[in-house]
Amino acid sequence: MKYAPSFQRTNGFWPVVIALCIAAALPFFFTETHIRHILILIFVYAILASNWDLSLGYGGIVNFAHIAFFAIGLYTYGIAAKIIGLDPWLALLLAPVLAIAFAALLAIPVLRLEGIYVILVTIAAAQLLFQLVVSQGDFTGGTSGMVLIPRLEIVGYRLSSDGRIGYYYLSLLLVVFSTVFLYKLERSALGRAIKALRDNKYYAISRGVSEGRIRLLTLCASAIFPGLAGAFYGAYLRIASPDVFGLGFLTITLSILLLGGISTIWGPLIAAVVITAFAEILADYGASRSIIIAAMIIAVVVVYPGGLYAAMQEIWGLGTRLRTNVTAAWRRRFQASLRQEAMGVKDHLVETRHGPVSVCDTGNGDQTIIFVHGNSSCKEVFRRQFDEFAGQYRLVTFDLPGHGVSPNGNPDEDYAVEAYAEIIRNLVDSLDLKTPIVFGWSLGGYAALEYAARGTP
Amino acid sequence: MTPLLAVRNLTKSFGALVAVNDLSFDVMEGEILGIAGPNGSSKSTLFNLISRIPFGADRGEITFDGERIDGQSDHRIAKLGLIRTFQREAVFQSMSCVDNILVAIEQTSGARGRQAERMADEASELVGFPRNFHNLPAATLPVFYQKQLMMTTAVAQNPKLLLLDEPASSLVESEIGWVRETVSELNAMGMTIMLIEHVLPLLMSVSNRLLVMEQGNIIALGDPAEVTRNPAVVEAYLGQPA
Amino acid sequence: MTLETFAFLLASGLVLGGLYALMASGLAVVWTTLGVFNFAHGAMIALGAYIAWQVTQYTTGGAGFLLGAGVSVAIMFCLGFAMHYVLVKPFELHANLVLLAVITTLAAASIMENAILLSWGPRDKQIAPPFTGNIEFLGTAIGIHDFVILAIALAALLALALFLRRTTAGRALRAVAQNREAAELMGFNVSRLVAMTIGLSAATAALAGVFVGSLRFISPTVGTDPLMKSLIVVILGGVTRFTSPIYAAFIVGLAEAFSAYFLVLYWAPAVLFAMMIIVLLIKPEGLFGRRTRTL
Ligand SMILES: Nc1ncnc2c1ncn2[C@@H]1O[C@H](COP(=O)(O)OP(=O)(O)OP(=O)(O)O)[C@@H](O)[C@H]1O
Ligand SMILES: [Mg+2]
Repeated sequence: MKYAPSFQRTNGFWPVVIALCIAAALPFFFTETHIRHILILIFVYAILASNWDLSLGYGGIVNFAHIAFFAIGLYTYGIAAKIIGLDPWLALLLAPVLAIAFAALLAIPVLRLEGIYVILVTIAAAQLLFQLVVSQGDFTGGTSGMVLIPRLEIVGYRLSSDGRIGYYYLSLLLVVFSTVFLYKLERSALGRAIKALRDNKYYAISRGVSEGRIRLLTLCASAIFPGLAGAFYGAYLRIASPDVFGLGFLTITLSILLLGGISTIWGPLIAAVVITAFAEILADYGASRSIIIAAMIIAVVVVYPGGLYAAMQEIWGLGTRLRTNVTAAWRRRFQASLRQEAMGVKDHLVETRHGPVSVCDTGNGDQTIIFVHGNSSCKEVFRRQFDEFAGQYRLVTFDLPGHGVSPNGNPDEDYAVEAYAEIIRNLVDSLDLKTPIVFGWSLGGYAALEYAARGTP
Repeated sequence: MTPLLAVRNLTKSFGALVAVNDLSFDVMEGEILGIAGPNGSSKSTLFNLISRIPFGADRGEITFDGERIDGQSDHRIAKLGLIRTFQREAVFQSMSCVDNILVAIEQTSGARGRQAERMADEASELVGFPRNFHNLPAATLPVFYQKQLMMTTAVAQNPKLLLLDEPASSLVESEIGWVRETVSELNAMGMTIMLIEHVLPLLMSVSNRLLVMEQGNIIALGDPAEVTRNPAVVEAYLGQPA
Repeated sequence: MTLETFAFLLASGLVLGGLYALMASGLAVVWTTLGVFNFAHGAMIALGAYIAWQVTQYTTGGAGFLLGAGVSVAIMFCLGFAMHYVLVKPFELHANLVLLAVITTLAAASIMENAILLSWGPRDKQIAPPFTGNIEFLGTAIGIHDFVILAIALAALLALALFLRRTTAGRALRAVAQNREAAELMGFNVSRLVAMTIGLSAATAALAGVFVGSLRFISPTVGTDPLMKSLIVVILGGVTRFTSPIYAAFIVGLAEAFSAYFLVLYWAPAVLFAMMIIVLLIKPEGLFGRRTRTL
């Protein structure tokens, strides 16, 4: 069976909801157009980088003409809305169509090449496009670009009014749609085929994956939202300049993708915020700003080739461990009476080779029974048994490391059946339990068996 | 019986090396054709040429299930029901095991969603791939289970002709038992199988016929017991008698 | 077309070809040994030009020009050597080496260009050409300086070729390019050899920068166009042998000179890029290449 929880039930749900709420509320806190402009830029970069991840990360196609999709969207909007005089909204929708058409053309050489040659042919394609744009000055404005491109309006309301609030929400909407699109795609049959082709090309083909079709679809799918974003950008800034073909723009987008972490979808979104905000903080430093940012990019790539997303997950893991440790300590300290009520005896920490564990030790009798609880459980599950047997036996139970109120263990050493058996032996020694009966439930059963197998009856 | 696969005058050279030399043979519907031969005798290359993965032949005709396939594209051949496995265990390492199986199902049968998942369960059942491994990352599996998973993905495509390239290599005795049982079971269900194997006892026990290759040529083809007594075969394996 | 224009186009095409050969061979050497495309190559050309310009501010004339070129080549060699340890070495064995190297070299290019902007400002500069005067060539006057540049470029290429083929260090480099593991097993200090390759590549970039700077004006982004041209050259020529990009460089140089005359100026680069895509489609290993990696 496939375990695929719906998005509402994954760990990512609440962070995404919170981030969305913050993004929706931000314009009320930042009314200056400049800050809103930065936020819109962040959204544009986020769309560009996360969709690039589709071809570059998931598809393994190092497409350096990705920014050209954006440029095509930009110029399509400019030419259609200004020179042809199409309705701006129609022009906006036309942009991704042309971007997809270019992606389909690009697929022809990309399909026949591999490795570094894909990088080179896509650079060449982007440059060819750049030269075409520059040479067709009558339509594109040549090297100086187009100005006064029509803006977007909704029944006479300019999206740029009220401090660009309309453009802000439009760009936010684009990011949301783009992310939903990528998320769904990655989990679809097409997404699986894309990843399969990247992981092991010939194996994928032998399983019925058509290399040509999937590569083509990957490139086309990765062109849709950059094309839209390009058109949006044209409507928003009202200029289209061939600078978008430059290495600078490509470098920033690529660093957002790589710093965020490839094949993650979320990584580039986070990195777009971090890098754009960082660049903005340094805005007053001119050329040194670019140097600092470039140096930072090198530093991150050298120290952490996996990207920010991987780093965040590691920190998240650390945070979880810290949190559970603190709650366990807090409960040991302040909720002892609750547990005493349940078990009829106070628990205390006993030191073992695998760290301290919380132990209940009660009842009287020559024969001891040790109760070992199961995975994700705690010693208090045995409270009924404690009630029942307290008269006849000495009863001992404990929380395995990282369970109940025992402190967390070291993940490399302490969470294993062998370690649990060792803990039981340490307890037998230190509490002088002689030859106990060991009762194990579920995972505890394995621990008990392991204890027995070690010849310590 | 009609031949399911008919190979005629198949030839492939790598530069000066003639790897497959004018090979012709038939595979009958429902049989297990064992293929043996010393290292480098072009057994795997033969599979490559038939499946066109990663390359096709220089010359020759291949007819599969009444249809010429030597001009068809690689993934089309797979979709026709001619499925191969690889000598080195192959997995889609970034995906979970069940996704590995689902890719195969979705791309060949067009099934989606629950239906595809059910088919994945059935294939796992058939091959004996543990279902509780389904949500593990495929890259973390030990070699034996990776081989099992590769076999499961192949079976999930519901092949008419299954080309197995050394499924038992680097396995221990009990695991080879699994290969023997699975191959027999699949064959009993009506699947035609070509099996390359160096483990001779296994090959002898499951094959209906045995084909022995040496340096791109067929040196013997027929009943397994007879083939192993063939002096040319003995010589190929043990060298010239002194 | 008159004989004079033909001669003029021929000469300028040849000079361009010499320059491109110098730039492209620098790129190609790194590519073959490391399998990495160095996007900082253009910025290295610019930096080399500025360093030489600085030197010519103190010493003028032919001596200044030569001294500037020498200093620039030496500094850039050291810089390239150091760059290996910062930009490539840390993730040499990482699966994504090609991609990571793309981003680090792009970042390095940005650092160099902005450092130039900080130290020398955005104003265009020119390295004074030391040799003035013309010579007669099939009826047109061609600057002596152009010939000197062509000659030095060819001499530098020859020296590089001799170094790679005749010296122990050069042979070791070629060994690394052919089979890195084997070279490591043989006991070569592969890291140092690779660093040296990047150093050499940076040195050729510096020399090319000096020439560009004496033919045209230099600005912080002067390297971008040469980078793209070298890219075309490397693709057209292929990197199989050290000599293949050199032929291609002259073809591109001549094609550029003549197409600028026959076609509208703006179309010339588009034609080159289209040519590059077509070559990649038909013969990815380059016009003069075979499908193996050696120097
Ligand atoms: N792509 C290729 N290019 C050049 N030569 C090849 C190629 N593939 C296989 N060969 C050569 O063809 C011959 C047959 O190889 P093949 O892998 O088919 O042998 P095999 O019978 O499967 O051997 P083994 O039992 O070791 O698996 C060998 O000499 C091999 O070196
Ligand atoms: Mg083989």
